[in-house]
Amino acid sequence: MKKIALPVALFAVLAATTPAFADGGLPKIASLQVGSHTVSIHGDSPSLHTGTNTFTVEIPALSSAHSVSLRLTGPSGQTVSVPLKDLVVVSGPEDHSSMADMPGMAGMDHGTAGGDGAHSHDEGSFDARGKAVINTPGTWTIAVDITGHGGTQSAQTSVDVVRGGPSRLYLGFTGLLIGGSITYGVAQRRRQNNGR
Amino acid sequence: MAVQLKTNPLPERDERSPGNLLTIPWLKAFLKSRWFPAVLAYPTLVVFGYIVYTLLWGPEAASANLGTSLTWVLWWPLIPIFMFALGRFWCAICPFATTIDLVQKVAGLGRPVPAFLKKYGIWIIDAVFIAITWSDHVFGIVESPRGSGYLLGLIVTAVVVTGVIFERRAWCRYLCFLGGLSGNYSRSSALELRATPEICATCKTQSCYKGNGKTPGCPVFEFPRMMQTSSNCNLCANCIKTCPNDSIRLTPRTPTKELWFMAKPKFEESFLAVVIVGIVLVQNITMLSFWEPIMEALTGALLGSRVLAFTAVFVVAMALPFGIVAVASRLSGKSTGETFAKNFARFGYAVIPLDLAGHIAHNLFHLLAEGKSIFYNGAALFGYQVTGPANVLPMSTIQVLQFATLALGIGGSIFTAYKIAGRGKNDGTGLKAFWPHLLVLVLFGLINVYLFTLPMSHRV
Repeated sequence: MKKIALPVALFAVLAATTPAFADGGLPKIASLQVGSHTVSIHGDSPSLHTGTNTFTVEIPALSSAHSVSLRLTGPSGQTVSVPLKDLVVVSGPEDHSSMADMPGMAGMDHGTAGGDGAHSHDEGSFDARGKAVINTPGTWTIAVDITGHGGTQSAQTSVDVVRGGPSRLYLGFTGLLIGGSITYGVAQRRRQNNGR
Repeated sequence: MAVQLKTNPLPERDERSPGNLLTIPWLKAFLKSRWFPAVLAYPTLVVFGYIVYTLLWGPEAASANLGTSLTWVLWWPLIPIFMFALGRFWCAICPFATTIDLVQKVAGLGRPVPAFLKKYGIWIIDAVFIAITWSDHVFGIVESPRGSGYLLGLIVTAVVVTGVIFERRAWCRYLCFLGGLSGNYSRSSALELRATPEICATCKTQSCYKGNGKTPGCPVFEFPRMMQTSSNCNLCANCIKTCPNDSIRLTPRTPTKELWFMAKPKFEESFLAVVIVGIVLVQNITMLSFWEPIMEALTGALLGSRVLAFTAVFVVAMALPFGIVAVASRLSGKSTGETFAKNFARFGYAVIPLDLAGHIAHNLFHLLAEGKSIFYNGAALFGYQVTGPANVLPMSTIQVLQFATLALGIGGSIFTAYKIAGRGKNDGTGLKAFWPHLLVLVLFGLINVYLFTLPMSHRV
């Protein structure tokens, strides 16, 4: 009896005490210290990739007098600026104090996002998002500038950009089968029609 | 007589089937028009194309991928609800079916379906369904946009290959795992399409099966005159269009009623119904918070391999419901003098309402607790950066809906088992045959209820 009771009890305790998983966060691709501000940059994929990337920038406690800009520099020196737009946070049927529950947000407490890369609360958090197209894989640099009354503060970090999209082997395999079977079907039908 | 049927068949049939929805003029006209189901199928194919594209080339984070939201938060939860309300109607507008139709126009060879596929197709469906569920957990399909894209792409490939070789929609009838699932669920559905036997007895054309010059015959090889189950009918309306005698009826029915009087119960179909209990069990357990600690402990015990650990749990989860129903069938069969296989085949269908309810209840969570992710990711397509809580309803409300759905499913399953047991038995053996299955259904119901009291993880 004890042999059964113990696992059952353990199972029940685990079930009762372990919190639910909370997915919905975006993967963090870089974290920078710009002056006194910690800047978190989240991507829409675990690593940056060729093609369109979405960047979500979060800076806790940034006064409204500041503006933020984000730019990328490629291995050949090419520069891509990321136009940041406010992230509009809508309310839901239940009170949420953490962005961890929100799809497309990382686990940070949030204030209200501002406009044009700035924000409306005096000391709210800065949440903005932008898209940029990266054409070549390799090592790129992400640079963040925060401009305020005291001038512009900057920081940068390196990130790897990988080739985006599905495996070429997969594309080749499925493409060959689909193309091959259709070609076979068309050829067989022609042969049958010619034989009549 | 035939001329009379052609010119004025409705009043006679109205008396026989007052619930026939085809007596509604606009509905009948719509179903008979060449726009149905094309007006729904082609837009669905376009959306499907976009979904596959964004799954394969879009964001790799599930929470940021609209394809993931549309597939696993919207479509997958809505599918069982559709099946309950409209049977296999989804199959009529399914992008795979439309792909087959398009492929066959240019490259179809129209070869007959081999006998082995007709005989063992349902076993192939069972095996593929189990394999896909296993792969989902081992390789990550639902939570990985790329994984989802790879799966859909592989299915499209198989659809094209079978569409080129075989006649009609052989894939949908004999190989599609979703078709197998919807076939089972559709037996519980609230809508049925049937022919009127008295009218069909006078028919010389059989164009519902063969087709006519304008519309092809039944794409899933059904002969409406002989149809006793909704498990294959796609409600594509080809037979409504081709029948010269207006013999086809489309009528609402009591959900689960078809399961009460199965004329030819099949072991493999009951097996699928019981396997789905195991699959729902696995799907629910892996989303629960105690899953990870258990997996870590098992992985440590099984050579440090997470794949082995999951496979062990998976095999047990699949085998357990089968073993339990098998024991009940043996006990039940003793009172009726049936073999185990025959009793299992008869009573396995009783699990279907619970399967369907469990599937709907599980996915109500994803639909209602994550539904707004579709809006957020959709808005991003048009340049609007919006986020917020993903839940459409408070969790407490969602749980009430889940339990209400489960209660209906448990009730439906028990009543179905009762009706199956009582069929043709007036000597008391029916009740004796019923008890073991009643206990099993109550047990499955309680397990489901318990699982739904525990917290679940999100898909996006």
